[in-house]
Amino acid sequence: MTDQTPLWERPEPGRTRPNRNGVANEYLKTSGAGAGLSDDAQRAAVDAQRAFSDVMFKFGESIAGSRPRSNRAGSGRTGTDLESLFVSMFEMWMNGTETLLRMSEGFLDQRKDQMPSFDAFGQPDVSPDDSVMGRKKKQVRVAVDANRRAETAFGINQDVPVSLIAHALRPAQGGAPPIPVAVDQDETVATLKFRIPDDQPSGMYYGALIDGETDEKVGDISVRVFAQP
Amino acid sequence: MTNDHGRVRVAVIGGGCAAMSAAFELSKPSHNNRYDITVYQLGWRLGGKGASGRGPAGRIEEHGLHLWMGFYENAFRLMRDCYDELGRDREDCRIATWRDAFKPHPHVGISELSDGYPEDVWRLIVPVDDRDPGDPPGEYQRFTLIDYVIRIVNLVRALVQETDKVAAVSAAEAVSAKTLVDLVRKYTRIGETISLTVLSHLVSLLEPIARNVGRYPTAAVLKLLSIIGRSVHEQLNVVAQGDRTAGHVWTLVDLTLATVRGIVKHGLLTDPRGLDPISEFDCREWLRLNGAAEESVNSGYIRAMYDLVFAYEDGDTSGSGAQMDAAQAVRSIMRSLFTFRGSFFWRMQSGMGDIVFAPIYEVLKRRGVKFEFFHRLEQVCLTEPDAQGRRMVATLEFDVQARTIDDREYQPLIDVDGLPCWPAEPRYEQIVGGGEERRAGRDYESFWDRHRIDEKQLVAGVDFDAVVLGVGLGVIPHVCAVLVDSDPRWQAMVQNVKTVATQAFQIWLDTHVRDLGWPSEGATVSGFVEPFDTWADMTHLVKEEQWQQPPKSIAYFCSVLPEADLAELDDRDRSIREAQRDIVRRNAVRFLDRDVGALWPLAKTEDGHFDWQRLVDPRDRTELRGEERFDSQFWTANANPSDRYTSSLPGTARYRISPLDYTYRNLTIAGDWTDCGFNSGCVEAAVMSGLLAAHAISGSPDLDSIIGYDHP
Repeated sequence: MTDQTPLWERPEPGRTRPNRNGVANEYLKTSGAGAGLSDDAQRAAVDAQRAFSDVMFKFGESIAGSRPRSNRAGSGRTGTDLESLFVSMFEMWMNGTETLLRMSEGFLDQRKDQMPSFDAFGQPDVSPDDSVMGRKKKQVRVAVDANRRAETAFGINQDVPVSLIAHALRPAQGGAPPIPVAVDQDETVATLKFRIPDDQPSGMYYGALIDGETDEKVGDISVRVFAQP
Repeated sequence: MTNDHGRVRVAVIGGGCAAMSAAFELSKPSHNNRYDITVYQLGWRLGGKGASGRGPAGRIEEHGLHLWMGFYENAFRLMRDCYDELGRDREDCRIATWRDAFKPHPHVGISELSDGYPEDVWRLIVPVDDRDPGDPPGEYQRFTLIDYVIRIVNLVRALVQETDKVAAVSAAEAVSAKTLVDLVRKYTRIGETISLTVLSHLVSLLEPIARNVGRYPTAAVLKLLSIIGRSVHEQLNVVAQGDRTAGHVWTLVDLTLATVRGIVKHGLLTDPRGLDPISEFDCREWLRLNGAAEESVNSGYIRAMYDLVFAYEDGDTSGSGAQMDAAQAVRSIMRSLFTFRGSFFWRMQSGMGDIVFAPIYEVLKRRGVKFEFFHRLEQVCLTEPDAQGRRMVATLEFDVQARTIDDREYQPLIDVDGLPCWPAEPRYEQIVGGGEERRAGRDYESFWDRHRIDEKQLVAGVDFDAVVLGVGLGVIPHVCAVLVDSDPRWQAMVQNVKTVATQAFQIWLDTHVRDLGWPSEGATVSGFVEPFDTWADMTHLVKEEQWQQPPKSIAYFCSVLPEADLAELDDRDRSIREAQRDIVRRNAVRFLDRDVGALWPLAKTEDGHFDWQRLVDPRDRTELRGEERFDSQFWTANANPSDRYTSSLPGTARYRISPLDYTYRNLTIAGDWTDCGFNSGCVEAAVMSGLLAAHAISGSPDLDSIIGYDHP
């Protein structure tokens, strides 16, 4: 290699990441004949796969069973906090509203440019308002800043108000300090921002979302702060 | 530019699955001899973490246990193409075709523990079918989360039937959103118990709902899953009183429901990032968040999953060290359960070196690929930044560990009853001063044995045009110091994408496994106790070895090797590998004496110790008595940087770099530590990475022909 000799360079790839988009992920390669599978063949293949997966395991006998099985009666339901949250939010939906209750989670990361955004669920392909596929509306995002891991959930039972206020997040129980929530919004996006202090006790925290013009409650936000590892 | 013949000179560094996959792809005849490929490999044999050798009595000595899974489409396609091209005659070689090399292996055992002690081992037999992994394109395969969810709910329905307490459950017809809402209203009262009949009905709704999930309120779907999940937990409590079969079934139902709930709750069905949003979670943690019972999360199924991929950060199996990227875990479960072909596991019919790397070596040689053994990469050096700040690989610095007599080409393989194999040590007869090297105890594969007889520098544009860096991740900080120092992404990668040391031992016994107290042959059991949580009966390999008096069974054991055990060793000491092996020996002896009785209750003497006399010594030394007989067996500490197992810890996938990364335009990387679409330490990931590296160099193969690369 000399200073003047250009080095060989690889061709530039069309992309450098896998495509994890579920819609585009239908891997279907054709045979050498070039024709794709017919719809009937596709259905047949799916049915065959389903039939095969219907019984995946044959359970054999237990062996080395000389020791008695320990008594596990009464053991563990877990996730009860989150489950209770779902129940309460669903009941709220059942009791008063007919619009979509959207669930959205934020993932903790120190670097906001890596913070995923949680927009509406893609393009709606069904007309019912209460569809998972959703309707286009003002986006609401959650931005969390801390070194702790947390999971967030929120629901807004109507269009995002022009002036959205978020009450501080308070613990479900105990005297942990509240977590203030700021709202940063423009015409298209409302971002709920808060920072979890490193020493914040773990647990569930809840806060109300308020229409600043009417003082009416329009939703809830909850955050589960994980314990330090 | 290229060499005088217009060919692109490719330096492939490393001899593991990823490097060989890249070399195999680039040397294909379809490239019309465009690439002039040289493989640089330290030591005497190809294989990397998959290398094996033939020791005394021709016994196979591996790095550990290698199981191939039925969804390893790319790896099987590589091996099938290789064996087809090799064209061995069965008259000359008993392992002539890929079907001779790989056999279905449906027998899986999962251990249940109580207070950390083995309580029971549960055997599963996963049905085998007549499909073949690696079949050519044309078979319909769908990799969408919605299809996986449909398959999961079908599995739930089938499992509920397994309890024998309910009539056969068929999938329901389409159900309206109003019907769903009415149903969950009806059963949403907290504490209300629903009957198994009602449970079955609700389970039957899951498939039509899954097929049209966009038409239902998310909350209603989640509520339905909660209702079912609560009932499942009640069933788990009920069966805790003694129905083991039902207990295992309900555990599986619980885990699958939690998975579906999490997919729906996290919006993954429509997230363009697929499963990646949950990559920050540990798998167990994620299952808990989605309602799985604690006992399900700690069941043998989950523990076995962690054990099989050594998912213990720093080798810490005590509890908090168990960490697995939830996205990759779910991806692995989906692929392994729902896209396997032929058999859940496939087992090699000889050592991995014999089955995989010897055939690949022979085919590559025929294609004109050159091999430089005994070349240890020391440094990858970069050019100075150009006007655009770009850098490229300028030189490759090697230590030459040995030289062959008269500079003849090193012939690495030996013949074992007609099968080309790798020896367990170099073929010293071909090496200059081979006798002295052997007496000096050279360890050409040891990171700490820095012996060299020469140095070699390869210059870009003169000796090579492109580099495929296929070394192990553990080596990267040492040989890519310039890259790591100058590129924050490489720095982040080596800091966050971690590896773990592993330990393994193999024993040969004079007793059939049934006479040891295990009821059947050929099992693989995981989720067992530490320090060796996985056992495989490898008796099928006896016929491949060259015993005068063949043993009646062979057992392989493996697990992680805790960093805490290694931390006390002095890594400046060239003999550190012996010290590492001593640790493994102590662990193995203690394990056999204390723990293996739960698997082999008849392997003990009257005083309750392991019956060491059952161990078969290839040298037939009758003077070895008691525990000393273990010295005749084989064990290994895989703590070399190049031998360490790649981990998939939560939150680390984003630090992986792709082989397609275009930053260094004459360099690509290959290994299961790269961003290869299936970010797990396994053969399939390594082969996929090698294919991506080949694409980076040549534009081939097409990315959409790398099965599973584009996958949620």
